[in-house]
Amino acid sequence: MSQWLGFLKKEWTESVKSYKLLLTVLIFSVIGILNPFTAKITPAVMEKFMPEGTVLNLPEPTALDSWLQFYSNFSQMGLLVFILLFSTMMSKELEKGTLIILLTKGLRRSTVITTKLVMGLLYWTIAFLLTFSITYCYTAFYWDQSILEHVLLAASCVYVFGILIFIVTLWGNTYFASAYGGLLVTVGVVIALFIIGIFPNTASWNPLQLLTAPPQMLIGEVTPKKLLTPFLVAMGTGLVFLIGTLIHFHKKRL
Amino acid sequence: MVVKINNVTKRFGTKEVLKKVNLNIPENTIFGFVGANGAGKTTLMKCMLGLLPVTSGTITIAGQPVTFGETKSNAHIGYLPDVPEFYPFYSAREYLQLCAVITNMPKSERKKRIEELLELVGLSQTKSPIRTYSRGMKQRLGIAQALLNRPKLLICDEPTSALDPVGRAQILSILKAAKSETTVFFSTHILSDAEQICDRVAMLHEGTIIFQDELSALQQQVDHQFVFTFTISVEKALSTLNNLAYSMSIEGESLVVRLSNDDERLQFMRDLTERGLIIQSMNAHKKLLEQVVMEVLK
Amino acid sequence: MNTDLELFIEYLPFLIPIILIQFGLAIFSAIHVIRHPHYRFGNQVIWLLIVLFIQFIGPIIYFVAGRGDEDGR
Repeated sequence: MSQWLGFLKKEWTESVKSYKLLLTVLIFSVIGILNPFTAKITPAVMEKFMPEGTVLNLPEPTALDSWLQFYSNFSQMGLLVFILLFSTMMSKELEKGTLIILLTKGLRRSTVITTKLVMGLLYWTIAFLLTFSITYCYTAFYWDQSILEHVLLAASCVYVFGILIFIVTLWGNTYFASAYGGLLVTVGVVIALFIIGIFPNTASWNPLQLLTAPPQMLIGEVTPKKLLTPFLVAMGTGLVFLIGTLIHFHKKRL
Repeated sequence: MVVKINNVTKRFGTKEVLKKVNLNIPENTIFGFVGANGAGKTTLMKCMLGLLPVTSGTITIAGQPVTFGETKSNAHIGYLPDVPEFYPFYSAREYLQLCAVITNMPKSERKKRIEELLELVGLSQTKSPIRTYSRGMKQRLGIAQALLNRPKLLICDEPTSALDPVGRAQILSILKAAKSETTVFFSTHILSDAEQICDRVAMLHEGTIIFQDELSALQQQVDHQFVFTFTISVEKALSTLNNLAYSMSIEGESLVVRLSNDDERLQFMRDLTERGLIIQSMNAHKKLLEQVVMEVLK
Repeated sequence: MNTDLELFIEYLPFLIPIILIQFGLAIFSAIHVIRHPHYRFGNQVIWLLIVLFIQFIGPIIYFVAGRGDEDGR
């Protein structure tokens, strides 16, 4: 256990010293502010750019617009930033060979994977909570949120999807031992999910639903129950990739 | 024997890198492992550490068999890779603390052992992060981390080859000092390094061990021979000494004389004085490891 | 113009933190680029342009991919 905590501490120190904590906090705060800001400013901007005299019947923005921004910014820009920041966790060590000394000292190979997983999840949690709480506070300040349902639950669907994507990246990064390898696998998996999504009858289980359905959940068109299967599929797939990573790394030639 | 390597064969695809290698390393020796670049030295070391699987054969370290992947035998080993890589954001002291946690060293021992090692490798005054270190400093930190858990075996892969003469001398003296508490197994392609500190030497050539013996035994064939140079040319000196019953020969600019006992040695000195030959230098004739290697390779 | 000013004041709670963070990050990154002139690829001018003019993603790319590990000796 002390070995595991010792290596986790190293991961934490490394992430702080390589400015990952700083970047995560700053960027996800900004995303949190941008969501309500974009929602609020859009009608005003539209008015400005319309030719003089055009009568616009733009409805006043509501809390829903603010959360819609959350789903486009956080699940696209946010997820991209997070994956970029943590996509080299394994490849950096494997390319440089920094693990060799520690592994020959008796560091368990599973410890390497699990501590990196936990560190990545910790950062994803920080990122999610920051963006969510900032968006929530601004939205509550400017609009009435009581018209929306399942605000936290809907947002955490994106969080779960992020976990899946992170584990997939970790696997690709370990398997190909290069930054590009990990990212290519991730991009491949996301594209595959989109292709699967073309067929309407896959909507009941496709994990991509965790990204696309939450806005409808806010307005009550989708019940949380409908997302249970995609949630379980996402968790199951994540677990498979995690076990795959552990097995592969256990016998990796270094 | 702290290491027993039994019939180890290693193939990469169809290329046989190690061919039935047998090697035994006795305790508390400095074992030099020589061979040209690409002879398979690093491969054998990685097999000993369980970082690569062997194709066939067995390796036992301190009585424990080595398995590929996680191996218990690593608890007895300290390893210094040819280019040791550390986390650049740590200082030497912090890195050793991480290593101490990973080897499950009792907390009470850690601080003392780390200070002891930093002193040994001359890094105790350095507080800057590892990213500012020179090659030599990294190599020395590498030895410190390898010795941390008092291993029974210290494996060093080409510890001296990338260093300048000062750095090399430092590493060699540290290895020599380490002999008192561990067995040192180090590879090198610089034969003079092996010659300076090794008790035993093995040579790997094209995947097979072509000799392994005590260094002194390898050099012994030329015992009782002495090399002289004189203030006059060696040919002149030889012609002056010609009528004497010593076995003498000319090697380069010096005279090699066989003097098998003390009486003979004293007598030879008297003969020199009688003939008015002034010695410029004199030393025992040792065959250089390089010559041994050259002869074996012929 | 009156309405513009009102609009501006209305958006201040958003603008202040966003501008602060964005400029702070860009300046922090630029200082880092200048003070650690070793990069895995590219040169100082390119990295300065990237961190100053590509919002957020620029500094991220710099810190993840462009920043050199070694101070070099």
